[in-house]
Amino acid sequence: MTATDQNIFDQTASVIRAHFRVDDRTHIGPETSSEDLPGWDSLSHTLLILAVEERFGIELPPDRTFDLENVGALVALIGQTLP
Amino acid sequence: MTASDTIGARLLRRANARPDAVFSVFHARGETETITFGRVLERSLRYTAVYAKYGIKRGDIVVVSLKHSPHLFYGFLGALLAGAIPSFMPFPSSKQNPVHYWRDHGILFDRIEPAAILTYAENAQALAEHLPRFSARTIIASDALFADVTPADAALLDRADADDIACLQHSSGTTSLKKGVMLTHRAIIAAIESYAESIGLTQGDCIASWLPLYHDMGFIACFMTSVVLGTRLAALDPFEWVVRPTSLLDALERNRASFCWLPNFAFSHIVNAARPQAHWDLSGVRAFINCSEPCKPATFERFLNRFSGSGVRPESLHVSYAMAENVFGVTQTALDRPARTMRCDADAFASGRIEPAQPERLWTTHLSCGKPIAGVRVQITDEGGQTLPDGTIGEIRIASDFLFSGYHHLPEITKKRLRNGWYHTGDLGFFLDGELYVTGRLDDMLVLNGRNYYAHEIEAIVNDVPEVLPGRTVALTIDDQRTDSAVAVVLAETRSEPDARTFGKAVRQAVQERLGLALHDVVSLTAGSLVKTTSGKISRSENKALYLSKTP
Repeated sequence: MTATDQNIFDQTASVIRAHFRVDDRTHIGPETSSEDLPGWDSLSHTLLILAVEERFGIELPPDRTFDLENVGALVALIGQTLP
Repeated sequence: MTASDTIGARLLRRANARPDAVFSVFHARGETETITFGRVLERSLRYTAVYAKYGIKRGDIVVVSLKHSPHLFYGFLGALLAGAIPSFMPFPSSKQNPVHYWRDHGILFDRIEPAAILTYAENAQALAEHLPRFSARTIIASDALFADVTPADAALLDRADADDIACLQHSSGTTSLKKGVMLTHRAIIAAIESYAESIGLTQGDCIASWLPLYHDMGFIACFMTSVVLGTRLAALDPFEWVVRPTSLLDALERNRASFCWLPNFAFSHIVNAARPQAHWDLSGVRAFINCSEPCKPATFERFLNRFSGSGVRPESLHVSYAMAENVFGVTQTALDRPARTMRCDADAFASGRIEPAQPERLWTTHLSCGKPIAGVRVQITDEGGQTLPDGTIGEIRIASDFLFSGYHHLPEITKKRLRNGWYHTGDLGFFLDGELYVTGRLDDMLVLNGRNYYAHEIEAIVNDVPEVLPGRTVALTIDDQRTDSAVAVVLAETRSEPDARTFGKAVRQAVQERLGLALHDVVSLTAGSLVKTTSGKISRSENKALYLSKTP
């Protein structure tokens, strides 16, 4: 991971923690998926994406946000979308 | 209405009289396609010709399982024009386990014996792999199908009769337990006309929808209404809507749509996703109709607060009580005033009586679902089948001029639910001042994001997770404050204390793979922790209270 990737990951993890109200003891890594965190269903996923877009000041392509496999895939998509 | 007044006949009549009138404005992947009545008929008749090539006859069942594409319309209507019996079915999600998915579909297909399964290439391939016995019956929907077929000659069709079964609507339950609601042409046309009259819906209106067509709201209120009445349908992809909920508001504004049906959770999903400064002109929308989930007054308040600046008025927010067994609408609130809200005393409510709220005492609020529409009778009954007076909670039963003809190939269930002309809904509710209020379920059905699941089905799946003690599981719903929607929670007694994260993931995966349902929370408990009733059954309500008391 480059320094930029690490920074995107850290910011994304912090949005996820706030969104799902999980504390620092819960591990969040690139492999973390919706089945790992309570409350991560399709509705809250949309709201998470909106929160991520707000944090990074970007708009993610809707057709690519639905089937994201895990946090790593979300971070990669953010990286590709950032100017 | 005559014996020849069928859905196919309506389509032919409309397309011949006004071929250039718009049937649908179809939105998909950022593109918009305008489909006229002439085009929808021409494409549908091509499908009729394709079905003839495959030997499909009048009365045969045709399953239509497609992603968002106009082929949904053409493939379904083409089957209707052939006198066949089409049925929309959902396609597998990427998170469902294909082995379970196809095993359940094998059981369902063995029961309904489809003569053709219209689907997309990837799904046809999976079907060939998992259900080779049905592989010869798949037809892959694509424009390539039309290349060497000419539209069937409308004059030579083996036309259905108004009293023939027009289609099957597959309703609640896991796939293998799904019940195919049989609806005649006559019932569908009469139900749509009566419902339209209750809301003043006419040919000039546009309906905007993201709803899937395998659900009665999307299928009847949106798609079939356009065929029967000639309304215009602005159609969005359900998956694109979930990701961009405000796309519905864009579609309402752009198409100057006047009606829109939504389950309760969708109102909140739109509010939660709308950016603070965003504004729409929704003043042309005569009714946002809340349907298919318990409707909450607080949800309406939030929607109104957020969008009053965009032209939404209190009298634009409405409620309908609807079900596939009555084609669609049973009751509807009057459009000339806001839907009524009843504030009741909580203690009296808990014991099944409705009394006005008193100062200093706990109360609950309920949204009215309105009055029965023309042609429908609704009664509230006790366990013995006696009608109950106003203000008393009991089971809702309905009789109507357009009730379903039974569940396809399920005579026992039909006999249980449809007795002496009355359909016993299993829903609980009460009447007050001529209006119906729906309060819950008699059985353990859970309504989640507009879809129905049975708690015992979820519990049976959780039971199979290795650490779980047999029969020591309860599935229940709670209100999630963040999304303002009902979510499912599972409590399970386990052999030892498993790692919470691994166990939670195993249970979530098992339920997701089988039912496509994302559980909100999974809690493992030591043996003997779940509260039982005096008769030894695990109590849903008391364990819910236990869960809520332990959750911050």
